[in-house]
Amino acid sequence: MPSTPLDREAQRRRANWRWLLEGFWTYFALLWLVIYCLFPLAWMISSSLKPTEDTYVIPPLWIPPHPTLHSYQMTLGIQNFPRYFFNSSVVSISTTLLAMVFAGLAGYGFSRFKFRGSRVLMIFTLITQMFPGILLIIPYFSMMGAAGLLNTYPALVIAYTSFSLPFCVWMLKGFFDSIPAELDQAAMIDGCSRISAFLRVILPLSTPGLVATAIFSFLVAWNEFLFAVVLTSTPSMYLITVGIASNIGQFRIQWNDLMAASVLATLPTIVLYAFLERYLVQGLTAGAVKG
Amino acid sequence: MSPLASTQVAPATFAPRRWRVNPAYAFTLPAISLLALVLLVPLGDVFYLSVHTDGSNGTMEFTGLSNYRQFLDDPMFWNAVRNTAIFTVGSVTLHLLLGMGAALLLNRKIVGRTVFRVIALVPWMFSSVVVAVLWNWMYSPQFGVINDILDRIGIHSAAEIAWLGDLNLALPAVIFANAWRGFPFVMIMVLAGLQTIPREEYEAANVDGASGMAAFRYVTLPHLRFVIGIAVILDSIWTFRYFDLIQVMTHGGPANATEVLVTLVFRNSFEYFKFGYASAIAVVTFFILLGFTLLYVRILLADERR
Repeated sequence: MPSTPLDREAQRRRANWRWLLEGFWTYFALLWLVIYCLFPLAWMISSSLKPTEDTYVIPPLWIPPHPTLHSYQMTLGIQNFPRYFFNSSVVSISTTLLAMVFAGLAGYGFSRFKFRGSRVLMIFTLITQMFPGILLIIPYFSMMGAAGLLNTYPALVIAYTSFSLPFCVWMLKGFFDSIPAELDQAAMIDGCSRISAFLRVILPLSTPGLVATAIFSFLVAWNEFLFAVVLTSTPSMYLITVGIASNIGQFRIQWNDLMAASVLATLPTIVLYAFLERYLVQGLTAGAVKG
Repeated sequence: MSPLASTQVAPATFAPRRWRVNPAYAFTLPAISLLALVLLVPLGDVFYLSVHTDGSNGTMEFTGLSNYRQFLDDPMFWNAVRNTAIFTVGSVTLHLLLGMGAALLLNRKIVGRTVFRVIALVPWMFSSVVVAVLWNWMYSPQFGVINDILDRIGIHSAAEIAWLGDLNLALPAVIFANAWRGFPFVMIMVLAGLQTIPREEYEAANVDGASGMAAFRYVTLPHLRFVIGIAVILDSIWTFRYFDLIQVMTHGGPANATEVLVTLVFRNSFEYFKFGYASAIAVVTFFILLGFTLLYVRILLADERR
């Protein structure tokens, strides 16, 4: 059926109208998604900027009328939080270094050698990732008690390294797989040993993978709570998560101070996630070697 | 030349062989032995503890399966099983709905897509403890912002609801907090899956006269099956064993209304010091998780073979 120009004009207008309406609903839904995602963050920041008398007001004040950094000063100056931040940093950085060494070696081993049991071992590392922490902490607690390592950094670092290893091994194996094995062999023909081929040729090509691994293991350690709360009992050894959680259940909670501590504890994770996102995407899409 | 040169058999010689470590083991053993030390040895130990009972003087007596019989008769155990099921199913369902919705929304042609994607990831960047503390504050009956919002949109009876103090509301309240924290993971997975769908299939569906709904049903969903399956299983595993949020938000309370299996194990071990009994419950949670895990590995391997 031939359509008249008038018909077509009407059709186009209807299509335009539908397009506008669809666009409106899309951005309307997006607006709600943004509010849903960011409101708790905004509430956390708003609360951290209130003086105590503005914190306990009915109805609650959404925007602090008298914004102050007092809670941050309290957190960083008077309470134990600087100590918790220090402990968390020591444990997280040590975990990161250990995990990179162990996962780098294992990822390379799994990528370059097919040996008897290699497949079983790969699946074993995958399965260990699924173990519930609550199951492991009971005997781990007594093992560390027997070794005299309760309230020490190594007890936490060893545990966190093993938590982050499975993911890191699998991720780095994927990165090394994308680098042609001919590169190793060329290096070895030029007189490199296996290990120096790995260290001098393959590692520099896998920087995005190593960065992602490092950030991932750092975040595992920085955010962990169960092992931290069981393995430390003296407040001077608390990690930041335990320090924050220990406020809940107390008779009167200073919510503004606690929110300031939460903001400070969250800042490094948000920055690192922003990096992780970039490297993950880069690593997964481009691969480590081009051309 | 084979990429697996090291697996080639060395030429036989009559010279005495120099003893050397297979490089494959040299590379992989450090990680494997650490995993075995921290994850496998304790696993065996838990099985051992679960058939022993804590004696009065700090010794463990062998008591066979009595710990297992004991929790089967313990209403606290069955209460925790029920709460764990509700917590897991509720959280995973909400993660799936929110994650799918957000992914489909963010996959459209929109201005500033990258910014929106990063914003939608924000809840996932918080540590569980901070999420627990933050939502605890938002749920506060008098000074909390959630009751205030309900009041402002006209639900005045909401004034001073004690979300985390109410026997019937505490578990849903914890689930809602967990929904917020966890949905970005499903969103990332689904977004990655959406990117693999070829445009031509939508065009073909369009030519065949399929509506938007039909295209979603017959093009989008079949392509997402694998990704959604993986996301649901991983999310179920993580939610099932999730300890931090409930422990910090409610401590399993009020009156055990939010007690799940992992917090029950924690309470029996590190608060009541009944390590044998706690281990028996931990063994049960282990086997349930093992079931999920085997399913996960099977799906992964099946995909690898395709």
